[in-house]
Amino acid sequence: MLQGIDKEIFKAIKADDIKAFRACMQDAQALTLSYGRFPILSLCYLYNSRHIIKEFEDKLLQIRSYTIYPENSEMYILFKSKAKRCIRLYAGKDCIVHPLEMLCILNKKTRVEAVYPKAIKTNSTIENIKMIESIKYSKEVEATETKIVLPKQPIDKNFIKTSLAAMAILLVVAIVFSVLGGFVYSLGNGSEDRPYKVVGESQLIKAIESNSYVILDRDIEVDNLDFDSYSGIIDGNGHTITINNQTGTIFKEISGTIKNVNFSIILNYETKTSASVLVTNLTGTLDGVNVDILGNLKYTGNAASSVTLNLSVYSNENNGTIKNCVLNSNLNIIGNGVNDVVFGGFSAQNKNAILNVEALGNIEMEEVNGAVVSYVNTGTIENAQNKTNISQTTNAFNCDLMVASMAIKNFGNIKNAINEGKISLKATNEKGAYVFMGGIACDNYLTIEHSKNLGEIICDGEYFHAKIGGIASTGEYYFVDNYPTFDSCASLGKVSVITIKTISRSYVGGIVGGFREYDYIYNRLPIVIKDCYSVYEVDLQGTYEAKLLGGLAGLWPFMNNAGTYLSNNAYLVKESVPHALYICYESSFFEYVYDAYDSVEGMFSGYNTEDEIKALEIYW
Amino acid sequence: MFREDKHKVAVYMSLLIMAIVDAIALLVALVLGIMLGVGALLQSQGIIIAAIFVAAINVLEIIFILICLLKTKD
Repeated sequence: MLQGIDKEIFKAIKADDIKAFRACMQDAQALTLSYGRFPILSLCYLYNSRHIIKEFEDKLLQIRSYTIYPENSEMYILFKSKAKRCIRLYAGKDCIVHPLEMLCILNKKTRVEAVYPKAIKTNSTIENIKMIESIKYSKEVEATETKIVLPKQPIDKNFIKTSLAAMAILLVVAIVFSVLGGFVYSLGNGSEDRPYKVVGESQLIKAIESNSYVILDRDIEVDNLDFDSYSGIIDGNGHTITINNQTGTIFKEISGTIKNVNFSIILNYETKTSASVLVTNLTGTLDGVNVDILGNLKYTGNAASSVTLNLSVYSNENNGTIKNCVLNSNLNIIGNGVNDVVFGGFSAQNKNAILNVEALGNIEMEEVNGAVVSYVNTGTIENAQNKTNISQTTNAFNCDLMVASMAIKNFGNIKNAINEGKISLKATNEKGAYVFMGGIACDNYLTIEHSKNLGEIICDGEYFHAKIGGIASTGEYYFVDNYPTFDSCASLGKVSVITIKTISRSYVGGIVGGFREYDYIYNRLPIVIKDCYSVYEVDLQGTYEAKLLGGLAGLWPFMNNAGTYLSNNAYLVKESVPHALYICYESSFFEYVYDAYDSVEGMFSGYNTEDEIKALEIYW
Repeated sequence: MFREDKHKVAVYMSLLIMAIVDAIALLVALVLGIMLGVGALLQSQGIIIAAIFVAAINVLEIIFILICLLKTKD
């Protein structure tokens, strides 16, 4: 009946061929087939025939008696290798290896427990299972008709080793990647919340070029920097960017913020246009940007003589804010003697705010007019302190030579400015020139308030006319509603003027030297001086056509109704400074007469000792 | 398939996945690094995502293997 089919079934079991097996099982009696000691299901377990087991397991577990066919050596050899010591239960015996027993031999314990209730089994089956467990693990088995509990099986040692090794690898990889992620995260992504943490030159350049937000993590040294515009935030975190050979402008424009950073710059900058070392046009903020600069800034162009060229360290044009900055400079600023080359340390043209700044070092200008803080100030300069010695040497003639500490032309407000630096000028051309020097500013068009000059002003030359003031060289009328004003200013520094040319005129004042145009006299244009004092000293050598040395002003425009503009001022009377100010009258055509005034009630008073001035409320 | 086998296969499969995921993430990091040159770490978003992804997958796999081991024990 089943002639020849046994081989087909065995072949299907080995190949887990469910279709062939299904075809063989069309005869229900085929389910009872057993190859000697091995029923079909036992062989399926042995050969791990998953598809056949899945479909026929339940039926095959219900077989009560088997139709025995010859057993072949192949299946026995495989079984023997799996059974190991348990082979003794079956070797040389005419018995059946029940499917449950096969599962036990194959260590499929959970499977045994699962199929046990629905399998047809005999007492010998249960006994054999107990024997197998006893041989393999020396453990007892609890078995009833419907339930069997096999002893816990120790996990395969190789599997544990593999798993532990895998977990160790996974753990190491997880830790490595977590650390990598954390490390990279800590470097930032260039956003405002997580700025890039920059540690090197290339990173700094890439970050700035991409307009990213940057925080310096260490000092950085570069050869030269050159960027276009920047709108992010650079936080130097107190670190220093050292530039070994800066030959151009670092930023064309800054609309963002640079803060808490020190620049140490060796400068070798030759330019044919207006130029600034740090930024050409500042519309953002420089906060706590300290510049330590050494070198040369030289104009080498040949522009038309009427063109003014602006040079600066911080900004050519400041439309933003410069605050809390220190400029320590050892600079040579060199012009060409043809153009008006001008210099302003913090900004050549300050149109907004320069606040809380300090300047140190030495600036030597050759054929250049300039001030340490700003050349033209139309904005605000507040809380500025200059300790820089600034000097100009020139061979120019028939032009204005101008040196000051805070601003050359002040169209804005200067407040709380103190100059402690020496301001000097040496003019050599015998054709003569006009010198304007001020402790704080040269031409004051608007307001200088609560400012003090402690530094020495030295004017050295043979052929010039000088207007020199402790605070400003001149007061100039420019605004319709505002006269040039000096409020609560103090002059303590010494003024030295050296000349031998007899037609020279020197107007020297503790607060202001004088005014430029004689319109002042004709049109009654006043200079406002109030609550100011002067204890300065003048050392005037040589011979002069006019030598006007005033405690307050070398020259003041008129005296009628002057009390509206002069109030509560004081000066220290010295041999070199015997009067408060001079008033100029035109006695006849181009003939001028100067009247000296010492004290006028409510307007100004001379004192013989400094202690008397110190006792006044205006002293600070 | 028997349950014990499933657990073992799960462990081995998770090892395979781990290897593939790690390789991909490392490749991503490498490509980003090469593409962006010296300043690669600056453009680090991809690397961070790759690193966090790999670390998270690895932790999940450890948990999975532990579960498999506990299941296999009975």
